Amino acid sequence: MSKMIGSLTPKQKELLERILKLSADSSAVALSEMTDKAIFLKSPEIDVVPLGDVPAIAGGNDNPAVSVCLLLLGEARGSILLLFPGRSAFKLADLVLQEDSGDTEELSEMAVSVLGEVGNLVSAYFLSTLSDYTGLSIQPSAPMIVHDMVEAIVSSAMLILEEAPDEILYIETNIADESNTIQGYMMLFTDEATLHSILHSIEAR
Amino acid sequence: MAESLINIGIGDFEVSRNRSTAIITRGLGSCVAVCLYDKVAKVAGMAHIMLPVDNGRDELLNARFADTGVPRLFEAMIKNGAEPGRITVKIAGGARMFKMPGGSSLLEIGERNVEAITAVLSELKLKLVAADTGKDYGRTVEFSVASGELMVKAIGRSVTVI
Repeated sequence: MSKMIGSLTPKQKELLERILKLSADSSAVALSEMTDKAIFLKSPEIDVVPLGDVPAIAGGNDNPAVSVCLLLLGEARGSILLLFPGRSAFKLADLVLQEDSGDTEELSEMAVSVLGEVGNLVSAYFLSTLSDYTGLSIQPSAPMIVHDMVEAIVSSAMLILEEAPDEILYIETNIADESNTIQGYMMLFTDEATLHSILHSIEAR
Repeated sequence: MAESLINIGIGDFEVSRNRSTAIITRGLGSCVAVCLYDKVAKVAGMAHIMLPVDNGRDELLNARFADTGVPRLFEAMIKNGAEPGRITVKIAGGARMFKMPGGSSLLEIGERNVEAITAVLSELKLKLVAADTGKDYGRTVEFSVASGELMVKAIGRSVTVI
């Protein structure tokens, strides 16, 4: 898997970025409707990092983060991980619920439900855009919300497929309204066969 | 308190005889820290195991897989003067970080890691003396070369020493 990602051709990278941009725009529209505010998603940037650098992502190590993880179902194996470091997830839940930012350190049931909805929405737009470009039928599982250490979350999501890649593909974005910027990351973990069929299908179109 | 720390990255291992040092690995989820100790020779070693079985995939001589990583750590202990009969083992990690209604065997990597490690330890005739594994939260562990104590930290929980 890793070696293939490392050798993404410029065309493959461009196509993946286009798919991400389109799905980020659709997600922003849906989030704006949901919150009744203008929400923007920064154009996602794709990067490939060696396994050893994974802990440094999102502030790294044993710092706290909230994540939404969804398994890929259908013609793909893998998972999507949305990661919100530090207090980002709390800010996001406040923004969607239109509440003032508090200092709560615990996720309320309502916040968990809101984050699950955001995870559903963002991954659904990403996967449907991906399906449009590849003809592959891929659906997300129900969202799983975890509030824990960054590296514990990222490594566990990465290892769901029992493969140990040398490098991982990750996507950085921000969610913002007029007054807040919320740092977020999206990571896609797939096996070699899935990545191969995705890249092959988007290039063939 | 250790004067210096040796940081073990994901899939790596390290052995130390420096008594003012502690070996640390941060943010274990489904991964497992395997800690070997010879209290007479004061040799300590830790491996950050990611997955149960190598299946011939491991080209690098690291400790990503239980079946090849634990024996590598054991050999490094012996090279550094540990006696096989004196080595004791502590393990921590192997959590199930993600839960899904109805469950999925894909989410049970932590349990499978712990099972694979236990099997390798018994093959090597190594004695497991303490374990803090499973459950659903991440762990950071710190292993003292001087004492062989393993400190386990988790978010929102009190620190434990095993």
